[in-house]
Amino acid sequence: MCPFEYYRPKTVAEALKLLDHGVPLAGGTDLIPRRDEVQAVIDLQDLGLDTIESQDDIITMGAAVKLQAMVEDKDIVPSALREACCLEASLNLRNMATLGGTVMSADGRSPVVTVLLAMDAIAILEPGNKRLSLEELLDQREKDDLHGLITEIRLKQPDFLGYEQVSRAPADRPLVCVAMARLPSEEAEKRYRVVVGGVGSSPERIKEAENGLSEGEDINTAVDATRRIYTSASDEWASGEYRAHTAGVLVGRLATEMIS
Amino acid sequence: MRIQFMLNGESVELEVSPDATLLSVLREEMGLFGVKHGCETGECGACAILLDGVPVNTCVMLAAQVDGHEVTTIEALGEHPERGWRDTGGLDPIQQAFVETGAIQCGFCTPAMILAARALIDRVPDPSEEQVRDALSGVLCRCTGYIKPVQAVLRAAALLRGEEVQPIEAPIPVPPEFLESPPEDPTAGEGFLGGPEVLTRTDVMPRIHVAPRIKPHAVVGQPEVKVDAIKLAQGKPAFAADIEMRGMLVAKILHSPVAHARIKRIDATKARELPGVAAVLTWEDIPRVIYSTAGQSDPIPGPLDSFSLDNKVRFVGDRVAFVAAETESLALQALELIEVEYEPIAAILDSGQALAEDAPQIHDEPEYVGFADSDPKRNLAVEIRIDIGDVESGFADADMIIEGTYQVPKVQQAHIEPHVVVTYWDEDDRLVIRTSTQVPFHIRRLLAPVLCLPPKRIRVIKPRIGGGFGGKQELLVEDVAAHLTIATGRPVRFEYTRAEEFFASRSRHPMRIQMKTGVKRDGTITANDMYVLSDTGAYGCHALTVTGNTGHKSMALYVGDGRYRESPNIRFYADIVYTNTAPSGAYRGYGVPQGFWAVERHMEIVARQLGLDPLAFRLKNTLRAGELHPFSTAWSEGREPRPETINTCGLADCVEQGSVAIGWSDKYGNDDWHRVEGKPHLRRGIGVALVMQGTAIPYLDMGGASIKINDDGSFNLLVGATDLGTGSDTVLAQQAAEVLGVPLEDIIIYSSDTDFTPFDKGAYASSTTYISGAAVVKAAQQVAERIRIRAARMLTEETGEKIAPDEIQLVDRSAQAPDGRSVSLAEVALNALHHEDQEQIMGTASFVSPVSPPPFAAQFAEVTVDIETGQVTADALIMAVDAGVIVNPLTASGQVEGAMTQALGYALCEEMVYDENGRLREIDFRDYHIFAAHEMPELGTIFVETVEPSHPFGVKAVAEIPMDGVAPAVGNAVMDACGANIVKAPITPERVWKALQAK
Repeated sequence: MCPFEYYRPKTVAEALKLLDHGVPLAGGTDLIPRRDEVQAVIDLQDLGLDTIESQDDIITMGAAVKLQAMVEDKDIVPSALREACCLEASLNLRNMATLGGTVMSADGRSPVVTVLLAMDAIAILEPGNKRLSLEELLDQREKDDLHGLITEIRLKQPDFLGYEQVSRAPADRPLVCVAMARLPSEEAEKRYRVVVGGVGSSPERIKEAENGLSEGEDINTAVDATRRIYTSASDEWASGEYRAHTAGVLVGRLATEMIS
Repeated sequence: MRIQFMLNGESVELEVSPDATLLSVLREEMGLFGVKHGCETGECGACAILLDGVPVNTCVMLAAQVDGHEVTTIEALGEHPERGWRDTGGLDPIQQAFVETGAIQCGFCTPAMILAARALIDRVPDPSEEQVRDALSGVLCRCTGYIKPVQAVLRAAALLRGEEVQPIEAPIPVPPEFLESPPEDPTAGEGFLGGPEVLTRTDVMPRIHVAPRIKPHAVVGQPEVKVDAIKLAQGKPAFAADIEMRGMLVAKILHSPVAHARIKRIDATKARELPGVAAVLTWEDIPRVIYSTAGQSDPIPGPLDSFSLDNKVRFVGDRVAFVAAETESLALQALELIEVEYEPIAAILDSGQALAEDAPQIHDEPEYVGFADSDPKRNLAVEIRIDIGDVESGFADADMIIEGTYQVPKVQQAHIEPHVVVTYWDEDDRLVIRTSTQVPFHIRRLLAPVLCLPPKRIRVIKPRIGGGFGGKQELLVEDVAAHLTIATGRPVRFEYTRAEEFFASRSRHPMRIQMKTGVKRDGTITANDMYVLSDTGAYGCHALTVTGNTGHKSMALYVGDGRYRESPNIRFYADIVYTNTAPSGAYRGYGVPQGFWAVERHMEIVARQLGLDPLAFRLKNTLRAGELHPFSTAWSEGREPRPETINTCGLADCVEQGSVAIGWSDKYGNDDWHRVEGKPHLRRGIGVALVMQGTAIPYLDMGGASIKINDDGSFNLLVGATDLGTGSDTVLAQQAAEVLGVPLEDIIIYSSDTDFTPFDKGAYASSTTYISGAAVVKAAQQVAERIRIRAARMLTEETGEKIAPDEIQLVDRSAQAPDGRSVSLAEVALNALHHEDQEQIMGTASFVSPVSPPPFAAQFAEVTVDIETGQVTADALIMAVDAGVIVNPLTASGQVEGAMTQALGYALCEEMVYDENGRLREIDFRDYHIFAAHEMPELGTIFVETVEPSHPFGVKAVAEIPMDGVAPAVGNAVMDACGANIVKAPITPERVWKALQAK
């Protein structure tokens, strides 16, 4: 077994220098159980990346913000995102898990990432102050091609944000979940976001459903498109047939709520 | 690396390994055993501490991360109120509330819950119930159902605010009046989970319909504080792993990655050469002794088909090699260095394929010892064929014959404390096994031949147990550590990981059950037939007895009516087959929840097809007092059956009480109630299931007890009975206290140690309060008799006026004559031990019962179903149970609440699923979901007492019966809500949706 090293840098610059030697340690709830896979960890707790701010309807959250801090910030964090945080993990883990860590370790059943995708979240990475949409970030993560350190997640305060899930028990991981947002965009095609989760490595945007909503808030088109795309969403937890149907139901409910 | 942090108010600085978890440092370096290990992924929360005032889980945190922070463990809170001449502040008010309310069962999660509560109350002095539940949501409890912990926090918060709370020892209502429904106490809740609003009052007593007493009791029937509660609330080192020993090694198992294979070659050379590795054992290194891992009485009623290590593996997770090393990390490295060449064999993963002619043979070892009809060539562990009456004639009499097929999954006991054992040679070179077991005496007996030691050279110590639920009625880890201690001469600790608990432990038998019922149009059952295909997994531990009880209990409840009641027609056939999956075994309910899923789902369908009221139809056909237990002449756990009459049955009263409590008459058949205003996709439903269990195994289960008096008139009570968190030590001590006329605090109970305590078969079969309790009463009566004789002599000598011993009563710590003269028990003790005609006043007794008096219960459930998605939300579970006389309402209701919660998981979300390679889908609490505090429905417990004549205080069992009815009651409620007939548990959203599609 290789020796294991622990670093706790005081600045982002220091952290970036250490990135070649190890992996970022945020809350650790995902990383620590599999720490034998890494040789060194870079603890981000002293980097000051734990603030939540809102300015001009842009919410800026540090990557090291704890999920529970998001739950407790009722003034800034939208209710559906706070709800998703509660469903992501129980209290003790929410006191540890960070926003950035959750994004990096989430799979398709993550309520938080489902909602963040619906909110068109932007990740800021260092070095270089790079802006990546959450979709791009998840794509690069999937390809193991993500370089740098997430320092911030930026969100637009939505006009509407809703989240629904179906699970075996109230706090169980979702079999199917849907997040829907109406964002304050001038361009109609960027206004609506529909994201479905419950399967695979990350939740999925249903662009056809978004298009349906953009073109006259057509709920049926959104529902049908969701069902069409999710038919293949089959795994050991639920059939694609069921997921397609249920995702359609949830899209329909959220769209109805949004439009009303 | 060096870290510095504040620990419980003091600055500490220590050297830690950079990869060490905070959990391991706190336990192993700092000796803070109040921090518990329950999993490795942060989901159970047993390892919680407060970090800068908020609860976090230390198993997923490096010790290095707390450098510069403030850590609080349970050891910082409170202390025992009695510490000799030094004044103490006593327990923290939250600890005190947990102690008083019965919030502590096994106590393994208690420190974490108390810390979570402390963090909440420090921040929110006046928390709502929803906030309390959220605060406790990070700590999984498998014992309590969370009601009492929530009540404890609410009461503590109120007391800390200076408010009064209702006393716990509130007067208990007396018969004959039935109780009214409780007033609604809706707590505000805009919870995110969207579940039902929870209703938890701060008064903690369950409702009891008290049976008339011949003589009022002083201690029995009272909500006494659990005798182990104070130490558990403080997180004292009371559990098997809470021990430090010089030179202790850590053990690990190499598990099979394949479902079925012969080990062609195994080479542990490299592993043995790794520095720090003390021993590696393979099947080539230890004696080949066949045995059963089932912790049962001799002779084992099942096949002998297991070896400590074998040259064949039979499931993914089966044992391949044992390693003992200086550290866990080294042991894990050693596992990777063991070279194994497997010769794969076709695997059986579907019990339906096990009996096929071309199926591979899982047990082909020549040493195999079958039981009864075992046929390993056919993968048949055992079979059961029971015919009572004339079933075919009964079917011929029927107006309708209704058939159905039902299915139940494999599920895990999920006790929060994993299996754990420490073994060592003592100074006499006797092997000591300190283990978390339900069956210490069976462990000693079963283990001895495996280790080539006589039982007298083995001592088994059972400390506190962090839950068992049947999972620890098994020789599962003890042999591993013991072999390694023999190999190395050193102490060895072996503890399962949470993943091992899932893939290499025991579980509830999955079953496919076919029902066939003949009925008259008036609802009379004329014949009832059940066939079970039961999957015992790779080994046949508990194979016969679990599945036997499936029929013995669930098929005994419905005997029919009229002449069929006098001579019921019942058939119960079962094939219990081997598959290449992890072995099934004992799990609370012991086969009966499986049976009642089928029987009670089926009875609902029969009632509906006949158009009869489901309550009336059921009660028309159920077993009644005075009738013969129909299976008692046919089967008795593989031993000789003997006829047994039901002495007490409060089932009709349970139905009445339960239906009042849940509002059955207002809801059942009421279309308006079934609809949810403003939510057309939701439907409410209500359901019921009637159930029965047993109380111990007649003519077999024996418990012993020994009592002696001390100088101060207190008593030591030694029992072999095994309190696994249920509170059995408390209810046994209560029974002793009642006989001896002392308060509970004067009984110092100890359980269990094979060297010091009398034999007891252990904690299973719902037997301890009844069997061990009767033994305690008998021993106490012997002691009481000696006290009376001596007290009579003392009083006679003192006054010159003669008094006979049988005139003396033991009351209020004294022996009292009818004329008012009395002598204290302390004076009697001093007289006996020091002054005159000295003797040790003591008694030893045992008890075995000729009957197994069944508790009966009516389980009600209320649900809301989303008819578009199939999602089911449980809104309320209410159980009215006849468990005989209730010795302790707090511990008994805790049993019901906890079991209903486990059973709710069985109903809705718990399931172990294997893939095509025999690999398990669920290996942690993320995927294997058990209910947490913030997602619970309302739970209600009602005791309808009867007085069982075969026990001195009239008790029957309560521990297992609440497992039996929840799943079918929820299934019936789902059917009531939306017509979906779910035959396969758990009732997942997709199954409901598909059933609705099929309508």
